[in-house]
Amino acid sequence: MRNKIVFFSLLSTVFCMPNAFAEQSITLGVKLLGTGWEGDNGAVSSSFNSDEGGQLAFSASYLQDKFYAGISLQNGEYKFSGAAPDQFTPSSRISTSNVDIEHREIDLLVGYYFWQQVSLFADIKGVSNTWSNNDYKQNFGGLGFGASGYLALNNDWTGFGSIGFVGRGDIKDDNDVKVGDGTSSALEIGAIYRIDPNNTINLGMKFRNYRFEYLDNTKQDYSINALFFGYNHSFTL
Amino acid sequence: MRFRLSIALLFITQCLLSAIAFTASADNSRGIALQPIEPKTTTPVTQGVYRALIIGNNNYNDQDGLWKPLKTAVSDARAVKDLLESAYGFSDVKVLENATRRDVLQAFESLSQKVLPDDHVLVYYAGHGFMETDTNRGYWVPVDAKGRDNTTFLRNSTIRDELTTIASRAKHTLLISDSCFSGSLLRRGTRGAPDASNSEQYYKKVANKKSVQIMTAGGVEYVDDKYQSSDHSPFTYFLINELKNNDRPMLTLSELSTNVEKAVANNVDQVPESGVLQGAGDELGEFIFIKMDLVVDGVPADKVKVQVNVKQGDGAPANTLNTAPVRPVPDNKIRRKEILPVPTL
Repeated sequence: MRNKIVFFSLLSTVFCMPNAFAEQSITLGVKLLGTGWEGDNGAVSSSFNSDEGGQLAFSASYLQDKFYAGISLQNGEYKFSGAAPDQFTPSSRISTSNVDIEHREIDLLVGYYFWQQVSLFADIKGVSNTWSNNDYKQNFGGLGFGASGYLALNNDWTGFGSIGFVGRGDIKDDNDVKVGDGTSSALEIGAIYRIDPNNTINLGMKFRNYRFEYLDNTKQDYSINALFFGYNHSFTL
Repeated sequence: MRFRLSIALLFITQCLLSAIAFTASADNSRGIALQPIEPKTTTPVTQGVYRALIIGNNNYNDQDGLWKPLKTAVSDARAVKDLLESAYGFSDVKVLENATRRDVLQAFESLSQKVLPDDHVLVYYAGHGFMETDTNRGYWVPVDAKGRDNTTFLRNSTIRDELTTIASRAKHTLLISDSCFSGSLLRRGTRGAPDASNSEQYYKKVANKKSVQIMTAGGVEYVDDKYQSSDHSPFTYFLINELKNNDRPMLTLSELSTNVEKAVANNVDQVPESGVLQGAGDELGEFIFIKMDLVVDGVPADKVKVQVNVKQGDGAPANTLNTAPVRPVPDNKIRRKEILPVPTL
């Protein structure tokens, strides 16, 4: 915990150091993700696959020269007519089916363009799932790292991508009691179309994998993959 | 959740503390403090708004089959627009893609009505051109042109009239024409060679004189539609290349055309031309491109002491150029502003 605080404190100090000359801009974005949630509850239980689901994401980012910081909020719901992800509490495991699960994600990140078109970033990620049958809520959070980059394809199109992982995070129940550890990884690839110098649309694919290990040694894996379409507006400060 | 809230609070607190620390350091000179450099106010080299009318015609729909569709004119127009807006502070840019004769005339009319005395107006055309050999009359060919019916074309004299009207109001007027036989628009005028020292005095001198200039893709000849694998004609390819790689804060049309003419002539079988529009009030001034948003590889942004402020909108205050000291200029490239989605895990 202390290391994380120190790390984040340092990043925010560097990021917030005013620079009278660097260009500063803010970008606001909205993104619609058509997604599927599939996975496996572990050796003794069944696999699951959502019937339908989707997420809506809002993001804001601040760019100052080569530094950037951003926040992204995603919210969506997944319907499972058959088996669904199991619920894990500190003392028990509850199998679920025919249930809706609300899935939320929050990302707080800072990054730096160490190269002209490639940046490295740190991301504090939080994920929460809420089961509709009993309102049980499970949270996963951790510090992750990633790299992102872009490549101008022509005057109108730019390709972009990012990859990263959360090496180790805590899984907790609704009462903030730890029920396990988890890791996650993400890969995103897409293209941006420039409408004008301040407005772009983007589309692409995002793959997220989660691997959770609970206190009873059950390993639960799932992935949430998506096709997305988004819009971004940027303005200079 | 509490942990995330704690982190978020810590982040906000840290930002506020940093901002406060910076404010305090500006007032208190103890220790090392970041001091914003006061911009040195010098006499503006140019005033007025930079405006452009950009025309790119690809989709010719001639029933007679004389005017075939072009491949690069629209992408030429878009690229010129992007470059002028992002790198040269053009704040009023109108783009016509696949313009009919009426579209072009209306756009000229609209432009001439809003031009103010100190403005700088650039008109760019990419599309078919035509020349009647027996009368030596040149034309732009709009997308609704019909075969050899020259009443459906835009005659050079009409274009000159429109430019003359605009030039009577603007400080600097520049026509760039990338079409076959575009040289027929041109009546050559003499223009003094740029001052070798490129001093600010020289730029002020030519900036204060009225100019009505023309730059064309070729003389009275056919010009190519596509250069190698690019999405541009040879002329516009090298025009964009010169403007992108320009490492001077100010660039006159004479300086630009010299380089473009050499580059085009060295690579394809056509020779661009430039000169003045006679009878339109040219006083041997120069259209000046003022570079904004300079990114110099290897040089921190705060060390580039060139600041160009272009206010948006009609009748806006002047472009203000501060040029002290002259910035170091290694290999310089424009970095296009990219708007990227927030990368998340």
